[in-house]
Amino acid sequence: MPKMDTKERKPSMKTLLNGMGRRRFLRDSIAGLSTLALARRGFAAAESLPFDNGTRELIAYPQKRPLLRITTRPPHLETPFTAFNEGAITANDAFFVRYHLANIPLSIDPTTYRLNVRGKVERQLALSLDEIKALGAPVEIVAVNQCSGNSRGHSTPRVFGAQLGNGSMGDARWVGVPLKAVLEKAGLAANAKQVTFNGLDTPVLPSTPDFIKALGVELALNSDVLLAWNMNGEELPFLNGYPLKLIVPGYFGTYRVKHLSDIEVLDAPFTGHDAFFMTTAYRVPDNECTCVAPGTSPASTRPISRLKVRSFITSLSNNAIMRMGHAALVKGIAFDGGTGIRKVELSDDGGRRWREARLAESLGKYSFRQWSLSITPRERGPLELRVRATSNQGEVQPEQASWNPGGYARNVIESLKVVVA
Amino acid sequence: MHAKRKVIHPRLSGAAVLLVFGNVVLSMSAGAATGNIHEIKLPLEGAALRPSELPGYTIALQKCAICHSSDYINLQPPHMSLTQWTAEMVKMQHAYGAPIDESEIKLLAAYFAATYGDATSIKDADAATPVATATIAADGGSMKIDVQANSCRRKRQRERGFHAALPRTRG
Repeated sequence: MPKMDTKERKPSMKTLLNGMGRRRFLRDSIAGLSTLALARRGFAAAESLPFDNGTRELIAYPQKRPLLRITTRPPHLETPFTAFNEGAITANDAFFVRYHLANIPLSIDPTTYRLNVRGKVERQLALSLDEIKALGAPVEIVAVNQCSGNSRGHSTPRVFGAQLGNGSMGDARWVGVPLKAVLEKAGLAANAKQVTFNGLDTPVLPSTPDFIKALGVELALNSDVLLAWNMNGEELPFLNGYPLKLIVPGYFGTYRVKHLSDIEVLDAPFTGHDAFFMTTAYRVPDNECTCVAPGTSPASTRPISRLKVRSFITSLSNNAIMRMGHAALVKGIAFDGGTGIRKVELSDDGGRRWREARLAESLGKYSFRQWSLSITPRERGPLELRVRATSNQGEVQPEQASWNPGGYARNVIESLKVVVA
Repeated sequence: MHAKRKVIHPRLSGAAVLLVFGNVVLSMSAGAATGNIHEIKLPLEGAALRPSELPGYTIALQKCAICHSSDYINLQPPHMSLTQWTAEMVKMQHAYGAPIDESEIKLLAAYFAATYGDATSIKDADAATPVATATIAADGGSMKIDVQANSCRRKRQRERGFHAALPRTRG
């Protein structure tokens, strides 16, 4: 029988002391952080991200373990980084949550839910969930979902926006039907150019643009692009887009439209007030590095698209203790925009020499790839570990962080400072 | 006949849900509940803006909260300048349709720069030419907007608020 109390449960000491000392207790007297519930239990668990003003409360939301709360309304929750050491797949209850508009759905009836398909099509559709699921054999794809602004808090100089650490990403096994099957059922007009995607979340004010994303027809017809209803073997968690979510593997998370309810086929590029999240926001400098000199504005921009190659150490955190002369298996993850990972290298001397890590079994070219390498520290004192991934198309993480005004697409080589004792 | 209703509360595990059938609350495992209304209850909103005697504080309480919780502001990086905060307010008005006029933009930016940001930039702005150029930056836009700098009257208001607002520790 599941527990049905809705009162805040006190976290155990084990939970609170987990995380190599990064979690701290916050007195509820700290202005601006207390809630009624927190005041009742006297303290809240929190985690400190390694940049100024980086303390985040750990709060449990529906179907979620305590996650780093970035914002309350609309909800924006980040995964504690220790969760990425649990496996290649990110658990549903640890998976990050990001909304843009405050009128999010709080109640959805799957029996009356419909996906509308309209615009430049031969047949307008209003599909029920059962009709969508019956469109073809379900397709399963393991794919990373990473926020465009993941790691934005590390931008130097800092930029406005959600101040994210590295935890606004996750890898999940998505099951759905190819978007192509829906578009073919509707029948695309010969002059179709773009396809737009809208969900049930809406702006508070009519003057605020709706959150609508667009894909070119060629990408929309790629058979890897899914309308997913199942995530890691369960129906989608509500806050991750129940009952249907657009999955564009290899692309940044901004295209993963949640609570998908409306698809419109256009015969021209998507423009206008409600095209804001394509035409003004989520754009990167239109050059190879998607970067400009820090503090400057790009001359031209383009919509953010494919993930850049990245890798992280997950088995250690900053200031972790390693034992001199003892082998430790260092573990982590790597991913790119859909070609897969060719190699991961680790350096324990500040980037002079690199050793190749062992790659774990691949879950697919869009997935996190786990890696591991045994390290035996030979000297006491501080030790810097760096990790560098190379994709199958030869893309390598850069040594220097680049900068853009949105704080998007960070993929610099990550480093960790541990202590050898 | 009442619709079946699945209410998902915080703090319950992913496998634990509630079903309300009529007035009777039942429990049942997730996944078996397709065909029922899914409902969530979100945690309370607890964040508050940093108080200030600056007029922008009152405007922020009234206007910013329409569309987002104040932790959107509380978590921004420290040391952002008056020019940067002004550009952010212009973005809120132009891009996100915030119901704030030119004078409110200036007052809001002064409050945020003094209370959350780099207060010295306000003094610098007063010493500089009366027109500052702000750039919409945070979402990658490249629109440039001229922002009228602050008047002497507002400078006096800001200075009155400085001592109460400035010495803040980071969260």
